[in-house]
Amino acid sequence: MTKADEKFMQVNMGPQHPSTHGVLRLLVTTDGEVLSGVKPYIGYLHRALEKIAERVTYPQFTPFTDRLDYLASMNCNLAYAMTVEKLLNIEVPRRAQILRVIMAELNRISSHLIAFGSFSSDMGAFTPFLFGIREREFINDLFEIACGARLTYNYIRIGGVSKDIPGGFIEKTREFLDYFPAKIKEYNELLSYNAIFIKRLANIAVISPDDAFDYGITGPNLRASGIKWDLRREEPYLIYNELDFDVPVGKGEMGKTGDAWDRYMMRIYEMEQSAKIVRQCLDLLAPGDYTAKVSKVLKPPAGEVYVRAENPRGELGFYLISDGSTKPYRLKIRAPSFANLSIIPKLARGVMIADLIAIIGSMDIILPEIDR
Amino acid sequence: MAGYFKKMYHSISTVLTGLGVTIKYGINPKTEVTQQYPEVKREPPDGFRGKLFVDINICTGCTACARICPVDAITLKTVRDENKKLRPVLFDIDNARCIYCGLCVEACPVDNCLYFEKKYEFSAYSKQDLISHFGLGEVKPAESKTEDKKTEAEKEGKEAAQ
Repeated sequence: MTKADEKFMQVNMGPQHPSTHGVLRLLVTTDGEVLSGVKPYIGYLHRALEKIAERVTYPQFTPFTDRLDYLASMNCNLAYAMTVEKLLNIEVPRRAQILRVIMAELNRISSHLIAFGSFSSDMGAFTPFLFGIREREFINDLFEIACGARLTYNYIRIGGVSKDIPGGFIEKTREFLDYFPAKIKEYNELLSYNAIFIKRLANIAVISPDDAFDYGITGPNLRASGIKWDLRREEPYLIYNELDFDVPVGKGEMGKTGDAWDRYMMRIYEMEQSAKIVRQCLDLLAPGDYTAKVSKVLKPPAGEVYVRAENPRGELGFYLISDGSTKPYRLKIRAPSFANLSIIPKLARGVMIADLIAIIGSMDIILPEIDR
Repeated sequence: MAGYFKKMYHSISTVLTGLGVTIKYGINPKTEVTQQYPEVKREPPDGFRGKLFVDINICTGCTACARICPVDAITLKTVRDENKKLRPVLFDIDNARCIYCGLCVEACPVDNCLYFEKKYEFSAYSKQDLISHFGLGEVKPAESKTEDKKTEAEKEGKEAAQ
């Protein structure tokens, strides 16, 4: 240790820090209150999911995808199911596709509600967290009547969905959609346009479009930087090309484009759009099969595919190699949070310690997906 | 100076708007959403994935559930009985291992044989207590056969005596 190093102090933030959204450990080098460097250490939640994939059959891996991003299990199920379907050339019935979109978008709302709530509690406002949880509970109830589980759904399967929605689901979803816009207005009154909150986040941790590209940032964080890129629009899967929705883009309303406030606000805008999509899908829903005919033993032909889907946190990609047997030869998971985390050392240079919390919260990372 | 007061006004007004939202919930008892859990219990909807249950008397011992289980939570051992039928002598479900994915229930070819109960409170003090045993138990086929023979022999003996 040289004389120059002595003025710096190394502090561990995490792995049990409440605002690290799981078990992220950040080794923080500080000079008093100002950070001179941050180094994330990951792997505390490593369960070797990619290796497990090589040991289980294709349908057996679906429950494990629930545990990638547990706040958006439906979206992870969906991306995996689409990957295997592409390898097997399965045509998914229309009703199943619509059901998938409904579930994926409802889960996007519930995931963003947690992002909104946990971010606000990181910033010192506890009430919005409870509000977010309250609305999320409504969505959990919907999922529970649809598939029987409240967190790890395992609903979207290879070929379709596990079972058809029961009676009353559509009415309850409509009830939620009627109730939800008023709540978003409440969130905005309570938190989004609060002067203290804006002062805390505007112009903090600005990600320029070039940086966003360099680090492979996707999802709401990318769009907050002013880049209109949404896989649902650019590379439509399922029935997204038939649906009418906007892709919200950060405009720098309260400061520079791509600051923490923009990233936060993207999620509020996206919740509105998702609610709009669900409403359209409920109108499109017509009787039909909820799953394609899939044989019990899946033996895809040898080959490789890469499929990506727009998750609440960004692009989730599955790269699957098949050797013609019943088990995958290799499954690589491209987790959006991992890329989003990688920019934190760059952003957290020369900022205050309190701003580091704002940076992590605004990126909305989730650890099980990073460590997987 | 005017800017200073303007900012101050803006801050206070937005804080008060936020407070208005919370106060609205604070004074209106109808907005209460929590349930007092141990006292008030929630009834899960149909199709809820709770504890697994096996109706062992109609189980055919096909082991489809044990084979599909991604976490090997089901231990199943079958023995052929005198009618050449598979008899599930051991059927253990480790509830600590089970991830409640529902693949086994879908794989089960018999209606209402393996299904989820609505039960969701089954914590235990030891891991062993979390294993539910459904198996019919070991019945030694050889022994039962000898018993049968014995009775037959007795019958024959009785008949002979008569």
